[in-house]
Amino acid sequence: MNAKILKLGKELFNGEAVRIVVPAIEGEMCLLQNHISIVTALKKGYLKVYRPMVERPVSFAIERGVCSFSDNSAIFIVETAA
Amino acid sequence: MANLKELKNKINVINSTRKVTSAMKLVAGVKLRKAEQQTNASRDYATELNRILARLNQKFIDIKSELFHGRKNVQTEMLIVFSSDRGLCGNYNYLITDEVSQVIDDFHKDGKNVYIVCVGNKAFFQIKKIIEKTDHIELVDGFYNEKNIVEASMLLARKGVEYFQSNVIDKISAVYTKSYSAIKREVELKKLIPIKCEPTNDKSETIFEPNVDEIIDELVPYNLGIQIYQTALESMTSEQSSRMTSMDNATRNADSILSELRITYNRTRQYRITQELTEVISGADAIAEG
Repeated sequence: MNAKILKLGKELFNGEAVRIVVPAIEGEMCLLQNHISIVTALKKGYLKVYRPMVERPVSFAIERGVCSFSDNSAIFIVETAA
Repeated sequence: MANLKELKNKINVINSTRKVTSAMKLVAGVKLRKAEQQTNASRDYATELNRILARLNQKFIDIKSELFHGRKNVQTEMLIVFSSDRGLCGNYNYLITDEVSQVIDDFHKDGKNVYIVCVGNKAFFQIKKIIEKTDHIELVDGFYNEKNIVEASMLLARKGVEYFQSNVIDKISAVYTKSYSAIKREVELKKLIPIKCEPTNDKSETIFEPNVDEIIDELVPYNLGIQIYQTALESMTSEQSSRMTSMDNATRNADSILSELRITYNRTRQYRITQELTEVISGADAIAEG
């Protein structure tokens, strides 16, 4: 699946991901291939993107935001600490 | 024949003015590039945010749909007018004021009122003269300090949505200058609320967490804030572009005046020398003949 993480004025990540751990408003959740379409608000926490063939995730500390997942494409609109 | 000292003074004055306009052109150029970069960087963010809202729009059909589909009877419209705080930018502020006065005239003809929010005091003082008692006008600041611009946009957006929801206003638009190229700029009226969403083909079942209402409450003011932020950036780009063009013209004019003055100065100097030489030669001749 494709993941795109945007903060105002900067693209933080754009690429392939196998698993994304999301600090959703109702608790942490994991997005995998073919996840059901979802739009969720995000709370303060770490957004972790696991890339193919790479063990360690890319981590982003976020303040809040929103995540939209559909057709194996995840878009994150986030605010990070300054 | 002009006085040599006066001419020299004029040349010095125009030379200093030329240095100022030339420096202002360079500063405007740097600010223009910065504003362009910021506008481009935020465009993708605004597009994706709008796509998310479009997905919500499909799902959302209760009373809050006024935010997406608008109200039938528009009595008061909020106009956010983006002008400049500073001058020396050609007809940039004049064009904005001209457009706003036309829009206000149209509103008054239709029996509507306007709630004007001015960003930049140049338009504020001009528009204040033409509005009626039923209209409202206010000046907001914070937009011309780069660090505060996002915060100021969000604050204005929250206020706008609050006023819309409490029926103080029925529509929100922005009047700003869009810059198409370094020489082409146009004043445009951009509709902000009702929110314009691009249609989406996504018909799949979607889960909304925590629920649609809360996401809408959070995202609508945020989206409006981002739209205002982008409009402010576009406006700043146009202002700097306009200032750069004006200062370039001023520098060219100074160059042409300087060149004319230098010719006049040299001719005058030459005339004086010739005159003095003629006097010396005539004097020497007179002495020789005597």
